[in-house]
Amino acid sequence: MTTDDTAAAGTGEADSRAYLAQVQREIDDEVRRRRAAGDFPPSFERKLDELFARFTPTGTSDDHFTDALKLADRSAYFDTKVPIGSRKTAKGAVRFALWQAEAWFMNYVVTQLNHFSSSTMRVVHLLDERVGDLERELSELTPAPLPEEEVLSPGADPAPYLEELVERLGAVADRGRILQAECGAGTLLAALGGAGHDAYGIDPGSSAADAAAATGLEVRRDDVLGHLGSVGPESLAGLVLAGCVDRMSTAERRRLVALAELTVAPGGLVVVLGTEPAAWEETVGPVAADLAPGRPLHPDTWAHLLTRIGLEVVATLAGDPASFALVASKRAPATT
Amino acid sequence: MKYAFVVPRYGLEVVGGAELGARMLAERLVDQLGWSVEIFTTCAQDHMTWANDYPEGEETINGVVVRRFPTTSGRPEEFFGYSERVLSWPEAATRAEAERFLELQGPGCPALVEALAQSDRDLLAFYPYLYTPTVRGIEVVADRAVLHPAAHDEPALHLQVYRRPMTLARGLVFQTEGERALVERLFPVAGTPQIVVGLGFEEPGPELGPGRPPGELTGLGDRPYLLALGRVDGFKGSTMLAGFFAAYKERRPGPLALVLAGPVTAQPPAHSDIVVTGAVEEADKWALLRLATGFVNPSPHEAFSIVLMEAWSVGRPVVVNGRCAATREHAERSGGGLCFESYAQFEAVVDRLTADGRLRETMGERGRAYVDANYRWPALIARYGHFAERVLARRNGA
Repeated sequence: MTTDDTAAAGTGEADSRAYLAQVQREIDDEVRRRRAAGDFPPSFERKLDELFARFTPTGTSDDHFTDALKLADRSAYFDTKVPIGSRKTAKGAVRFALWQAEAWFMNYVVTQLNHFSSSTMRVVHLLDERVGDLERELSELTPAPLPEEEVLSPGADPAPYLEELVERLGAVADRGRILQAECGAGTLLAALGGAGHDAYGIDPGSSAADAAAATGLEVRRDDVLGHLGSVGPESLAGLVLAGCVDRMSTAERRRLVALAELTVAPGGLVVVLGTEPAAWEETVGPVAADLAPGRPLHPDTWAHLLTRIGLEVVATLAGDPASFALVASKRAPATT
Repeated sequence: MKYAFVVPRYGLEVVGGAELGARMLAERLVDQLGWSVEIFTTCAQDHMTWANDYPEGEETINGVVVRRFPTTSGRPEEFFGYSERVLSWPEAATRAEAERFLELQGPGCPALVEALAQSDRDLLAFYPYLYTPTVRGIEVVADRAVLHPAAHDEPALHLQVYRRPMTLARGLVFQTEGERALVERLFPVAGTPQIVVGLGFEEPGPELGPGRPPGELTGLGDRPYLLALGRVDGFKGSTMLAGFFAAYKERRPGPLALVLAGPVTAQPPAHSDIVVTGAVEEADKWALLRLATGFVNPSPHEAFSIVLMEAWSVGRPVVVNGRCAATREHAERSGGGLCFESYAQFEAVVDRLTADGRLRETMGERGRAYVDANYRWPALIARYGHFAERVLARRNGA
């Protein structure tokens, strides 16, 4: 597709991103072509890129580690040759004489500093190589999923459990906010809000969630694990886990359970709104079910996982044969 | 709703991003929602000295009641050396060192903090995270505090002294998704009610006048030019942009010029193709924007960049520093801007923009559509108002 083709496409955000990416690719290709043709003398480009680096923060985010390393490399050499200007002027001659007089001392100190900085930079480069190797190995362990491995699970419908969940979550709502992850169309959020409870939802980006946000519900685009990692400890009165629980891998599920325990306040509730495995297999078919990296768990398994981290299962609601809502409580500290 | 903004500086003469943002929001909350809005601020106009330039007391600016309190400490020379040391590894700075940084940075204004505690406001919005009035003020009115961090990935954000105000605030208002992600990465605030709202924008009406012809204002006649608006200094990328443009002109002699329009903190080296106008009148600014070949924001330190919206609103394509998360996000989401992270990219971008009229037009149109969809005042103020009412309802236990 050419830039003109993409220019003619729609003006939605996805179209705009595609258009810009196309133009930026063409520009990057042009840069590569010019470099290959020797159009940028190395010293010329280096001088200007140093100017860019001087006025641009590097190393405060993880995205530009290589640039930060280059900058550190360039700064790691100490030079004893102080610029003194022309030796023909009186000032220059004095400066030169001073520099010569101090050179024996400066050279001695600076040689040691250079030795130290070059050793340190070597260690940093070795660490960089080791981290790079680890990242490559990790990426090989988690290859991109095949299309048939990407099972789309709609998640369990909260409708059959609405009344009871609103009542149970409402009873602990004085302990903090109630979070539903993932919230989909926001049915449960709306019911909680209607009952006067402080609830919000996150969703990785379904159109249903966007529609829910447009109705005034507090819904954000976010992934569950990332979000819970940034929620304050013991700040949630209730955590409703839906959608994601049906497709997470074993490692992700363990992290989810640990984060649930960390973020829910004592006396608060964790609710797993899950799909019954048999109903899920029937829906997605045997091939997708076998290849799926994660699959729904039985309510008993969730109960086991939650009990292991110290939660107490207080109810397993079964309002629909295809789903369940398991409610667990985090024990409040004993009062004297 | 009785609302307030707490900012280190406030006034028609103050053009800093956060302060201007607060003023624009405050005036429109009064106009559009009929709220009672007050400003708690210092008497300072210059953030480098925090000198008491404005008189202490109360005045009303465009329907907003402004309460000014005198600063008791400015920004001593010692601050610059100290901050360089502390910010070289902010994560390692002790609490005491971070507190010292905060005090030296200023503005010290204990009377303002005392006034906050006495105020009858339903909610108080602090803006931005960086300065003492925010850090000290949120402590005394935490249950009524909304914070507009206006944060970008700068070393100071990593100082531990900012953890409490971030986590104490009852509502967070972000300017971009990138800012939200950054703040959530550094502080446990994902559970705090929050909104990504940015800043609204509107073109000036005809009463502003056409402004002086750019060719006359800049002395460039009818030569084409790239335009950069805002403070001219190294921190904002102007020095780097001037260096890049001078190199560009060595390799591409021709009529193209660069115009840097805004208050000058660091004068770039003189160059026959670079015009530094100093601060310009509003009407002249719009005249410059309308006729620019393209608009450049070279700053790596932007939390939102209202000037991008201004450039797009008149259909100009923009070029941004690819290391700035906020402006890069705008460019990518809109399709109206190109990024550079090296001289080679800068040269290729400028070559392409100047040679391809269709590209300029398409990018300008996309930018304008982006502004229309996201950053027009009426819809934005309605969203902001709804958010603040929700924060207040939570506070009141509704």
